[in-house]
Amino acid sequence: MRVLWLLMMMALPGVHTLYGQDQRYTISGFVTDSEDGEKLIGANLYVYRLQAGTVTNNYGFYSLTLPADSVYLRVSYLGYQTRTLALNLTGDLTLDIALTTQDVEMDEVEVVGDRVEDALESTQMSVVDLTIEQVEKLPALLGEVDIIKAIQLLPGVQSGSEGSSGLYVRGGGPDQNLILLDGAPVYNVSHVFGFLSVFNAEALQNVRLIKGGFPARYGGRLSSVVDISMKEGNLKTYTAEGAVGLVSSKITVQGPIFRDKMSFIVSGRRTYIDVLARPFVRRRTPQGEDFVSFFYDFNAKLNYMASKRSRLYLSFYAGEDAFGSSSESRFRSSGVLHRERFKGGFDWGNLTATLRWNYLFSNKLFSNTTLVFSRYAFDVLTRITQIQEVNPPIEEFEEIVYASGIKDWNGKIDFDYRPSPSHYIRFGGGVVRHAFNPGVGTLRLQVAALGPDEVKLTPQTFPFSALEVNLYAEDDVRLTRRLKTNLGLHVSGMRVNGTTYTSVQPRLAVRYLIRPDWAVKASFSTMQQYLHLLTNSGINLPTDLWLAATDRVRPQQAWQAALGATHTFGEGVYEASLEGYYKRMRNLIEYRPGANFIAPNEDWQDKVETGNGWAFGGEVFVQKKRGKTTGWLGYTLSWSKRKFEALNGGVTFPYRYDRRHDVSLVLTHKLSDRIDLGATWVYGTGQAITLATARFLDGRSLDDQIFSERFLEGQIRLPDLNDFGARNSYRMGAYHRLDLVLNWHFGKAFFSESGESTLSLGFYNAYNHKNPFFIFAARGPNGERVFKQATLFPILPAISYRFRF
Amino acid sequence: MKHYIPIYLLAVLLAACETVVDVKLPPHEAQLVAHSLFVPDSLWRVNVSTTAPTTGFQEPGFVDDATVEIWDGDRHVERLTPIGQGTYTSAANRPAPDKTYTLRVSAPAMGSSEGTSAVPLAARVTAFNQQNIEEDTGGNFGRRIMRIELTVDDPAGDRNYYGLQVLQHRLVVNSATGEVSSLPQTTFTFASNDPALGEADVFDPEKKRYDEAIFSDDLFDGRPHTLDFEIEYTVDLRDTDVKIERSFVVLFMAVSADYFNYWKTAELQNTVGDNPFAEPVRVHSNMTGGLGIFAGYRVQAFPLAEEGFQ
Repeated sequence: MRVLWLLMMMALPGVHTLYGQDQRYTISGFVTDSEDGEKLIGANLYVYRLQAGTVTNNYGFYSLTLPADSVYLRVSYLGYQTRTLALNLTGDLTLDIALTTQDVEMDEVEVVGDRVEDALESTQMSVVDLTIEQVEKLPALLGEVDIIKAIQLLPGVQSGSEGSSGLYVRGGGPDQNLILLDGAPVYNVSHVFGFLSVFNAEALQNVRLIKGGFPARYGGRLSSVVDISMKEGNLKTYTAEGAVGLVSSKITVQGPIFRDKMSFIVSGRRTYIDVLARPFVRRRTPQGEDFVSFFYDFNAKLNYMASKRSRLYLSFYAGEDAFGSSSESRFRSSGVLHRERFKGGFDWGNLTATLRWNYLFSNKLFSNTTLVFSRYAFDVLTRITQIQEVNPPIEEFEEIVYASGIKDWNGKIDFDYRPSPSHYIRFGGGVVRHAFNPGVGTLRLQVAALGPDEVKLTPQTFPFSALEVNLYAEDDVRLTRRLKTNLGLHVSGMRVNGTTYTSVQPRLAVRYLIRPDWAVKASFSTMQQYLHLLTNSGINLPTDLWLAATDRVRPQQAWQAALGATHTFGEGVYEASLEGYYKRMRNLIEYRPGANFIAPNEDWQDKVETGNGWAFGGEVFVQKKRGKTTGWLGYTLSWSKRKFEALNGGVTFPYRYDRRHDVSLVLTHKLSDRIDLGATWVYGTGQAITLATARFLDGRSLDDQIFSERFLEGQIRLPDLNDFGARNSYRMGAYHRLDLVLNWHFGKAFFSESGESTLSLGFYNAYNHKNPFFIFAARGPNGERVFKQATLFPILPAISYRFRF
Repeated sequence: MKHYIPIYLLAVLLAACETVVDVKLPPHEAQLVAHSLFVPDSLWRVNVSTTAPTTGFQEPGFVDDATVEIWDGDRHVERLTPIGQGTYTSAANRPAPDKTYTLRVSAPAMGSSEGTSAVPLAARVTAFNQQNIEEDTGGNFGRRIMRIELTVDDPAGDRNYYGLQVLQHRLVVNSATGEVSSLPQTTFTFASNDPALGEADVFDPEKKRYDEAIFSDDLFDGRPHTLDFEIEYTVDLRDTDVKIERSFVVLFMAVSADYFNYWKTAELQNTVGDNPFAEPVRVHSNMTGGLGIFAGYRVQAFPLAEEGFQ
């Protein structure tokens, strides 16, 4: 209650007056890209003399209240020319500010903006923003620019296994990340078993990763928030961009429907592996085997400026993966031709739709109302059909269908209120209805003599729904010129199957400015997560099963404390941060020993154990943000542990992704106006896995009299069992990899008189290190038992062509 | 379903894996492995062996020079005698049903291990009913079904563990020569849909087949519970000189918690096999300083009657 009271008191405008001047006016508006009208998220606005500033919100809106005076307002954003505006404040002012992208010819002029001020100014710690322009310069697996893979290069974030799209943030699991695409949760971000993510970079504008010190407006996950914004569509002119790569091609078109009023963007991507490989597969298989393996993504967005105060966005995403094969064999029996057809495969995908309405109640109060639908569905089908070519033909089949998924309907409203430069108040709430389909297996039979039949293979599993509500309030308060704090409270609850869970989650972040270029930050946050994810820990499979907490498996909970320092140097060219964190987690789930994660006939609650975990460590992040050479160095030293009463004899064991050392070095260098180079090098301690350490005899048969007599006579031997030792006690080899890319920029697209194009030539795993993927038991050349390590990707060249006009 | 999906996934992954390299493991340190599942009406018997590395050709070996002792608290009961194949037996001592014993095993250069267990209380079987059904299949063979109902009165409180097994004994009778020969006793498969015995088989939900069932009282703690199960076999109806006469015995066991946990985890490890999508199973052991199991159990036998069959 004291925290609440403090928060309310501080939220009152006028309770705390920083400057002691009576007359103040508010400047407000949007910060946009001058070329296409795109809103710039997180642009920095700052008045040095007053040491007052703000940043634009997720919709590019800002509001800054200043004393009546003449001020110089500096507006900056990464990759854009900084603008400094001289303003004489004699009244409230609505000012939309357009920034121009950094021009090649402007290199010699110190006008390139960045967000150094933001890093020092903001109370928010453990946050990293990436622009798509940054990501596009990095080397990419198979040439596919991938935002999730770029996030994996940040300190505190791990990828899991080779090529995976999983995110393991500060010792947390892959289910503990709230991944939002225009506010809609995306429940499975994997294409092609995780080797690529579902996010088509061409359709995206901005990505923000928060891995600690969570502001109160975020909730529902323990470990991170990945907030991804789609582009809004060019309000001024029609443009198209696309790429042709080894794996897929994509095309994006955007432009105004009504200039400066309404715009659209549509973007599509599809693979063509199946199309290219199908003829070869058919030729090589005796049964004319066919296979399907593709994915696609489709993004679309409408952006409508209804008035100066009102703006509507409608965004949509659909993506799907399909993987399977089919074949047919023929044989004759008793003179009758029999045909046997086999068909099997997976199909999974996400669909999200978001309708948002921004409304400016005043130059200090901004609102956003959002309606969201999100769906993830996964199906497995196997069908064997037997046809006897008699008159009439007899057709019999056996079909097993396994379907799971989750659907969300979400309504929420958020308010941004900036009564003075000393306060930035956010409050709001939302309601989510989750509908779960927790893995229903069905066996369908068509037997000629018996007719059709259907058996539910999961007799105790039924679709169910849950209702989740949340409310929050937070205030970014400047207490003194040096001390700033963010106080917040997030309250949430969920009702599922007659059980109600509630949670009150205080949030606190503090920033103390030691010097203008040194800031110390600390944060504390508690989180509650009502969803669990049953997932195979080794590889990204689409079998991920999202489920609600139950009376047996309670919601996950965590608290995290972090302490860090941020320093800028080299006139803002470099930014360095050092952070330490400690995180406790409760009610985590792990599979029971022997649990088969794709066994459809078992209640998921019977397959898991619940326990606790904790993680701690330190992260160093040094960025060079300007100049011909840019990039970052990230290093993480961390420990992540688990303790489950029913696992490992109740003894603490390392989490599978307990990675002591994690290094990422990311560099891009501009050789000339036409050529730039990109390189990334990553190193990580090997995964902790459970491996058989010895074999011993199974003594169960020894009390059988007959067996025992024959055993003593040496006629039979006892079967073997494996001793696995302690859980996750074996370390796979260290992972390290160098990726390179060379980007050659042309003046124009090859089929157009205007625009620009880029040819990229890259190498994944450039020095061909055999990184461990998984370990399996096998036989050696002489029949001896051996363990072998499978390696997924050797050196992989990639070439892609991007164009824009 | 269980069978198709892993094959698909494995095929995808292995096809994608470019190379495999050998993995070097830390040097293997052999451990003592001792097994003794003891019952009051049998002499003490312990098998001692060593672990083998998970790689290479070496098999688990028997230890014939171990010191194997049974203790009753501080009282030394007996040092067991080796009879080969790593097996050690008692000359005359049998476990008493009301005592807790400790097995201590040591071997040169192998260290020592020990485990403690007791024979559980006998199961309170309050009813045993049998119904015999003979079905004429119309050919040379007939089908015989024995349906059994066994009621156990489970004590409340502690978790109790039971086992169920059917043994078959066959005599080959030649009516022409008068010769009778005996075939080795074997376990005989029984079928049941009783959820207390285990989860239903999704592909045959009506009845799941067992060679042996080890189960807990989770579904009937503190209550009488009637287990329904049946055995089924065929008989030769032809008029031949050589006939096989069968007899069956139902064994109902009360087993200790260590017995239950060892049996379940070993069974689960065998079931999981090399499935890369299942979490590894560590086999339960109560032998401190080594591996294996020292656990007591108790058996009640119920011969099945032949009444009702022609």
